[in-house]
Amino acid sequence: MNNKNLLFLGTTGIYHTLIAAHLYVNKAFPADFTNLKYWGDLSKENWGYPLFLDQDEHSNKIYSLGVGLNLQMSANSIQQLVRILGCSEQDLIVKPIFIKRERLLYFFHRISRFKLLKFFTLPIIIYLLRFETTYINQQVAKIIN
Amino acid sequence: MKIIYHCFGGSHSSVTAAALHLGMLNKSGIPTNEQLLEIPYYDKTTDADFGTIRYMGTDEFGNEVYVLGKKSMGNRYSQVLMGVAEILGKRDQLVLVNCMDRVNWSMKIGGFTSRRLKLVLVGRPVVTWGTRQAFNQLVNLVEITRIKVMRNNKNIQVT
Repeated sequence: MNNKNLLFLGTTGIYHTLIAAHLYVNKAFPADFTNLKYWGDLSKENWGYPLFLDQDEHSNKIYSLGVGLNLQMSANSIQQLVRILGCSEQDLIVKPIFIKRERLLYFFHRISRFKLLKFFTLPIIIYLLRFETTYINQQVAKIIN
Repeated sequence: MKIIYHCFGGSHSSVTAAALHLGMLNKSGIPTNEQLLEIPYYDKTTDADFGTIRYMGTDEFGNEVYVLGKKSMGNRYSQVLMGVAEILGKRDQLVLVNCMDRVNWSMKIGGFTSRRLKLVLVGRPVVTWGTRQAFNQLVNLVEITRIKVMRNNKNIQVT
C-alpha cells in the first residue's frame, strides 16, 4: 500500500494544528505545547510551505499548514489542486482543524510578528488553546476512526 | 503543465490573463467592453467561486490553463499551492501566476462594486475600463509566463 500524506490545515500552522498532529501520531496530548516542533515559529509559518512534522505508525507523512481565516476556501483549493495534478484524494488527505476561538487566536498570532508583543502573546495563545483541547480531541478522534 | 492565473476574485485580471494566454483575446489591440464580457467567467463569479480552480482551456503546447480567486491571501497562496505540489512530487508540473501586481484601482473599485456589492450597472463599466487600462500590463505578464513555460523552467512563480 502506498504511503499517504496527511495535512492538518488551520488558521495558523504553528499552534493548534501541531497539537492535533501530535495527538494523531502519539495518541496523547503533549505535556508542554511549547516543546512541539515549529511551535510559534513565525519564520516557518511565513514561508507558506506545509511543515513536515512526523510519520505515523503506517509511515504516512504528517504535515501542518496555516492558511489564515479562509480555511474552508483553502481546503477546497488544495483538494482541487490534488485532482488537477492527477493525484487522488488518498495521496494527500486534507484535514482542517477548527477551534472555537479561531479569530482570537489568529489576532494574537498576527500581532506576534512584533517581537515585543510576542513575549505577551505566546502565553495568551497557550491559555486560549487549553480551552480547545476537547474540541481538537474530537476532531482528531474522527480522523483516527 | 498546469498554469494557474490567480487574483483576488478570479473574475477580472486572472480571467483576462488566461484569455490572453489561450488566444481568446488579441494581444495587439485593446479589447472592447463587449469582447471582455464575452470571456468566460469575466465579471460573472459569485462568492461561492472563491477558492475554486476553474479550467479556462488548453494552450497550443498542451498546457492546461486555470483561474483562481484567492481573496486577500497574497503571494503566500502561491507558496501554499506550490508546497502542496511538492508534497505530491508534482512541483515541476505547476506554474502559478499572481496577477494582483497588474491590477489598478479602477479594477479594484469596479470589481468590488460589481461582484461584492452586486451593483453591476455601476461597477461593470468601471472594471471594464480599468481592465482596458491594465491590458498592456496583463499582456506583458502573459508573455513572460509563456516564455518561461516554453523554456520549461521549473518551479515558476510569476509576479
